[in-house]
Amino acid sequence: MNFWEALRTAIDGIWANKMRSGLTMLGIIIGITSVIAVNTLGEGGQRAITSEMEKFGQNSFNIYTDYESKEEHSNDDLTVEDAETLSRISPYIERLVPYNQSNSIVKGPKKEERVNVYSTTAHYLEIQPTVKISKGRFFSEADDKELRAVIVLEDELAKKLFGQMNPLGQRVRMGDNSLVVIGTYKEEKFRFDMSQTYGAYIPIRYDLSFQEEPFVSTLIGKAKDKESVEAAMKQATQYLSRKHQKENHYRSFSMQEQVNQFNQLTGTLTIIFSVIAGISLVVGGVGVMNIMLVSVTERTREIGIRKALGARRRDILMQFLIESLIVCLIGGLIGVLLGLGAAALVSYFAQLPPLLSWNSIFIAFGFSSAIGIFFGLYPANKAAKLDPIEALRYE
Amino acid sequence: MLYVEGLTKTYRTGDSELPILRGVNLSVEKGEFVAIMGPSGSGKSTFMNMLGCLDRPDSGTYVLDGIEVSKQNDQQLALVRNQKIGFVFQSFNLLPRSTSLHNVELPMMYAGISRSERRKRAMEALKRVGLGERMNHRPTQLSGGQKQRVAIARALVNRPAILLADEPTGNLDSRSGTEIMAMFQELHEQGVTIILVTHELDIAQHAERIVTFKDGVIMKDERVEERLTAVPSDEVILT
Repeated sequence: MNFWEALRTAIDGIWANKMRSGLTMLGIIIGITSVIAVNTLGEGGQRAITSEMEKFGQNSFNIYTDYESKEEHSNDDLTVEDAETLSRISPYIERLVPYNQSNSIVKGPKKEERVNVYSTTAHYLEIQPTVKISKGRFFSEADDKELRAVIVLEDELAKKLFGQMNPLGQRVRMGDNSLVVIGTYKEEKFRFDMSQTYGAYIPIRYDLSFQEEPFVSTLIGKAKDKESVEAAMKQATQYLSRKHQKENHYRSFSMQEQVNQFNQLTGTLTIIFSVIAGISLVVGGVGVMNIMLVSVTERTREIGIRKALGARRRDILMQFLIESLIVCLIGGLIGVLLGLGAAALVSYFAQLPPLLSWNSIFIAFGFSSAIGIFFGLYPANKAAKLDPIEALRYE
Repeated sequence: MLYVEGLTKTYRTGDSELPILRGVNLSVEKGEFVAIMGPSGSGKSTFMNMLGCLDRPDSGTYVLDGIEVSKQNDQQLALVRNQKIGFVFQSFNLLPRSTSLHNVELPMMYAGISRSERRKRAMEALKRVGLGERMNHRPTQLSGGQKQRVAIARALVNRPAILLADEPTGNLDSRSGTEIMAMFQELHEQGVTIILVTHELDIAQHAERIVTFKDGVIMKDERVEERLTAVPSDEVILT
């Protein structure tokens, strides 16, 4: 008897016991569904966040001072000039800008709002393409150097502060200072950024001019290309160490490292969840073995008849093995479909892009075949070894 | 055709030994119709299992159609059962979920015959036993006599060397029983070698030779004088 005959016989056997086969499949279906859903969601989430992160800062990196540094911290550890010098001299750095962030109350004629105020230089837009000017302009190098009190507001913020009024040329108050609105912008927000706080940009030299303790917290930069990121960070920290005579005082961190760290985390989580889901798959496999043993006992006479008519051990073994394999594969197929469906549903509500994880589909089919064979082997072998005389006598 | 010499078989349960066959000698010619009789426990069923290659003797020789069966392994025995032996059982032993056609195809499936050829031969065999109209019926839709005819078609479809029938009329009413025995007669006339196990003398008398077992040996081996058919036995042997 060839493989196709065995296959047909096995399918007949499954079809004859639809209810039981279905229940047997259930264990496999649940196992595969959870494996697929976990993997697809894990991979999808990972990819979505990775691509977001890359969009928001491809080749970008940060330079900051190390909290745990043994050197003394001073207000001029990082300066606006450092950023400008490094931008000029480094072959790896496309642009490096100083960057401070603070939280202030900004008052307009209509309302006041708590705002995230970012201070940086005119070159900021070169490294942050997600910020788009919608009205007016961003501040210029001259605005910065001449310490002009200008501010660029987020569109929504401008609407809040000025209502229907044109905000350009109007003044807002921030603490004791009065600043002229020269532009508004729209920022493509990081998808997973849930903050509701509005933003505004002011020139950093102006910002530092009225601080009691003026210092630059971070330099953010963009390397010429992906390959230059490491070299750019190394050159920047080396230059700063030399110039400020401080050893091991500066740290750097690239978006790529952040992405890698994140991927590592989600990868580990996915594996942990997959293992948990995999356990249910093994339980399903034990169910398959259980039912196959019942099936062998129930069909003892059939096995006897087949043997009397010339079936070899191998034929019987194949028949039952293929039967358990098919039960598991059909269960696997349904599980894959359900798993993808569940993942698609969750993705839809979590607003993640839908994703087809071929890897996990192959793994699921691999696993269900392996389970079918592993847990089918013992019952099939038991069937194959039955003594034909006893089997024929079985009632 | 069939030659058995010094066949023994002993069953062991725990410490006790129960000899079932104690040196059986028998030879059957091609085309013979032999009935095996004997009380239960006489060893006739065990002997039948040996002839059917379902069981192996402890010692002795069994040659079937030129093959020394007593020396074959499990796989070879399966092939012998498939190619050389046709079984007809008391309880029919049809696959309950399969149609007549599929039941008859089964031995050919294990013989590796192509599907189209299988179908053709199964249909012919079913027509031969008068069930041309019942090919797609399942055993539950058939009467006892019809089931046994399906079993006969299945037994003959691989053109075996011998037809082994174990109480073929045991589960049938007398009318169906007579019908089945008439069919055996007919097959005998066509030259099929038949060995029939029964405990009913009137069934055994359809055969041309009756072998009687007692206590694991053949006690009597005699020709039947009173033939139910007009065909002389020597004429059959010639075919």
